[in-house]
Amino acid sequence: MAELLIRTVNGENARRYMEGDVVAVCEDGHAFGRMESLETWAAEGRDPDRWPGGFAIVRLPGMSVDDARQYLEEVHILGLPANGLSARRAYTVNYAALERRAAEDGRDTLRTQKQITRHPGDPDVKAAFSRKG
Amino acid sequence: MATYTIKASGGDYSTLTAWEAAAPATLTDTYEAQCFDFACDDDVAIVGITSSVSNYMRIYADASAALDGRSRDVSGVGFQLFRTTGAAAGVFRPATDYLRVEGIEIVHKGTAGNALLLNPTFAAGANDVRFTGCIIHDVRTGTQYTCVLTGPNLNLTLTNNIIYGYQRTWDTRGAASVVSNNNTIWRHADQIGVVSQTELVCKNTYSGKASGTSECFWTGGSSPSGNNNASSDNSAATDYTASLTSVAGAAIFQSITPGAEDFRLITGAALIDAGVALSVANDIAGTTRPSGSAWDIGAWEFVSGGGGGTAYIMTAGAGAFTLTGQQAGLSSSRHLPADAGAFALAGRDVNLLTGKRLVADTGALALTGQDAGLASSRHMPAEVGAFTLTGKDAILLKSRRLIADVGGFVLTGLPALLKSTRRMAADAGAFVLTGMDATLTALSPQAYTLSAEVGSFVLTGSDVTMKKGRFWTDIDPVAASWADISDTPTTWTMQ
Repeated sequence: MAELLIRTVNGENARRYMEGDVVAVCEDGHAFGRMESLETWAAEGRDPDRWPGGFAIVRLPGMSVDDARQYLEEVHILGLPANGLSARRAYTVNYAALERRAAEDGRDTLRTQKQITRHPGDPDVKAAFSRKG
Repeated sequence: MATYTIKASGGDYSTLTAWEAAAPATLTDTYEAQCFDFACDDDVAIVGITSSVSNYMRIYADASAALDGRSRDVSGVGFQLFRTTGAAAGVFRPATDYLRVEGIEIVHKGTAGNALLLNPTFAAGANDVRFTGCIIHDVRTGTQYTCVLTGPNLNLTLTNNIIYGYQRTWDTRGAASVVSNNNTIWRHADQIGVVSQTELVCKNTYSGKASGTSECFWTGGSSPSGNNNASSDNSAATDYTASLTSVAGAAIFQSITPGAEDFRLITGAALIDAGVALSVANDIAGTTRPSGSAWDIGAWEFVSGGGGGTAYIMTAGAGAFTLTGQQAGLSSSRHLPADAGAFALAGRDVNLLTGKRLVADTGALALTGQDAGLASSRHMPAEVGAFTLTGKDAILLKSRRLIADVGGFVLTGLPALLKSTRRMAADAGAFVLTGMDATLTALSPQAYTLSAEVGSFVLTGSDVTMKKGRFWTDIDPVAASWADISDTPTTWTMQ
């Protein structure tokens, strides 16, 4: 099972991570840090409302890490020198839509806990991942 | 300064990528990643971040993850940034103008991509990138490079790094200026090592290869600056003054065997005392240069023995002391006192010798190493805190004492023992002996004592026994769990 760390806020310039970018793909059971996981932050007795965060965790049981790493593909940014650092993710997760759908069907852990577990074949997940135009 | 920990668990971040993703686009302070001891399966690009002379990015190894000159795969210690699959663009791809990377390992274990890629366009005359005390390597074969350091305008300083692999080591052509001080470079295959032209100033740097005719230093006929380098062929003397040639790796390093590389110098190595004095004080393991009559060439400074008889004192009102290096020791009459904080001795040989003391009013004392011991007349007293002995043989020898008013004692190891006249005493707290043979042994009734006014005793192991002459003392024996102890006059045994 792959666990995806998703950026949930927009970067401040075109070369930074944008909302919906997959930042990292980790193995099942990965121990995310307190700045990556609201659950970890809260488990250490910290106020959830003060979590700096900006990340969410999407767990995809049944998807291998190697398969999930397709979402880390980078593409060249038009207008910038093509000398090795394109550094924009080719794929995006429609995080807001995934969160909205999760809330609608009562599984709103994405909104409240910044994490969700879904089968890769789940229609919501399939609809959420897309290649940037 | 904003410092975030990178840990396998319990840290701020579990990957450098997430740490980088959370960085502000414009730094208004230094932005640091303190990396702890683990292998981090990750590849990192640093992009879109505006840094400056005083507001730079820094990635560094915590003292607990200090490299000892070997890969984490060999030594078992260090922060290792690695990828086995993917990362075709490179494992580490920084593109910010002001960056310092210190004491971490970067390795590409796959067959595509560089370990280090520094080829973006940097700000002309306004960038400063430093790699210090890092180990960088890969396993890819061919004529590509372990490190591509060709970024236009790049001002790069490489100090005390160990870089090795099968392909070419580095290419700095295209950079504005590159300084190489005390780096160790090795190729297992017949490939060119250092590829540069006049942008490189190279000193105290060794470049070698296992066999073949490819040049260790290749400058394309240009005239670079530098001196006191060394190579396994004759190219060091061709390009630089006061340099050594025909220095074979097998004659100077602990091991050049692929997968078991150990580029620490051996006794008599030609690189010892063959360097020129530079401004960087320590080697890759933190050893002060020079340890001999002059600086050594390469990342590792050879240390032949201990210090002299002068008394040295390290004193702090509060805080922590750390001794890390080839030989982390306190010689005769040295002592480490602190009002509060922690002491740590870490290294190949971790010992307190005769007359040495570790003293703290509060905090923790730790000895960790292959032989973690307190030799004769050593003692570790603390009013509050914990004592820990951890190692292959965690032993308190004759006349050693662990004493604390409050806190815990722990002996952990293969044989966790208290031998004759050893004592662990505390007013309150816990005693723990854990190991294959966790025992209190004695030939006379007065010899071995675990005593506490309040607290608990725990013996855990495959042989957990109290033998003849052992006794428990407690201010409230009724409260103790002695029901399992066979209470004969001379033998008590915990089952």
